[in-house]
Amino acid sequence: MFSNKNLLLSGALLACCVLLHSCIYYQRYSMPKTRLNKINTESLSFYVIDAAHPLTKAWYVAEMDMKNQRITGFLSRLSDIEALEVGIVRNRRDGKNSRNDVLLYTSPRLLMGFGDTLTTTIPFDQIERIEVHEPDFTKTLGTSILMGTAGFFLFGVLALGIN
Amino acid sequence: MAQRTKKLMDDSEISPGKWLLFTGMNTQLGEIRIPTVFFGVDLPVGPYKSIGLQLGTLMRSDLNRFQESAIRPGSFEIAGCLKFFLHGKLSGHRSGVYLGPDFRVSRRNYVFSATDFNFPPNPNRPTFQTKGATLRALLNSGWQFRHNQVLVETSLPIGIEMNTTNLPFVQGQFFYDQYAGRKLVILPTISIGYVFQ
Repeated sequence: MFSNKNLLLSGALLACCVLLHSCIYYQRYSMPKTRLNKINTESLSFYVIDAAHPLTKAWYVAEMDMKNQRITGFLSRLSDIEALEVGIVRNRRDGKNSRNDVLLYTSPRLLMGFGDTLTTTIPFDQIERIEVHEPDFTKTLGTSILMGTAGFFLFGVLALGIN
Repeated sequence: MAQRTKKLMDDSEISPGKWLLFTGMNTQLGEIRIPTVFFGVDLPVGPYKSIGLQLGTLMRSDLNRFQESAIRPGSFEIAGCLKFFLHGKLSGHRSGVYLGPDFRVSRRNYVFSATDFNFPPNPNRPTFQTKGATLRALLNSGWQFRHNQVLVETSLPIGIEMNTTNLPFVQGQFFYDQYAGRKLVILPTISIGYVFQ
């Protein structure tokens, strides 16, 4: 049989695990172009976004291939609502769901003639900036330590009360 | 309606330095606090990993009539750790936060005596000296801030320690309980360092 103290300790550990899991903070970061050739693109979703109209003009890149400082793929235009969903991160859950998205903000001059679907090649120098969502490790660990310490003291006080 | 974006460098191409020299201090949280001053060297292995070695001296404490134990000079600690810096898989940016295992071995010289709450205190209170060894296995989490060549680091290793002493076993004696067996240890640490490129 478990004693009250052991049950309390197990509860504290479980609560800490749940809290720590829900405390991963995400932040939108600007990624250097030099990283494009180094990342594994298999599990990633690439979006080409008009740098002048980032919330309305966006294309999803399918069958993507990256060679010789160029991106080749089949582009399919997103609806306005979908483009808004891709462009805006409202909360932590959005950040977590967007962690495999790579947003390629491209020169409006290049995208001017793009239709709803097309197969095209985009040179790296036409990409103005690249944005990704990644965990903010400093904030995540800081919050975890603070919450863990608070939980430790709280359950410590409760355990003392039981004894 | 632009989103706030942080600009980052690709740290996979930036040298973290050939070696880093540290000095700092840690102290154990709990009933027995033994501050330790240490010097350390960090050897980066790639952009996101480093191996750390430390040599520290345990600061001596004085035995008074309310204290049953004290540390004598000649006590030292050797530590080895690995630091895995958390980094973005896409951006390649190395954050200042790291995690990793930390192992510490210390050789301690103790002086013990029974507490004396009488007044006036007994000037000839019997004491005896002994040696002990401590092995600590910790999970280290820390944060390193770097400005050019200078860095400041703070960490909070948490784990267990195993003590052995040459003390005669006396069940219920305070000093035996404190310096023998296994127990949880939390070791807040602060240090400053210099990066040699």
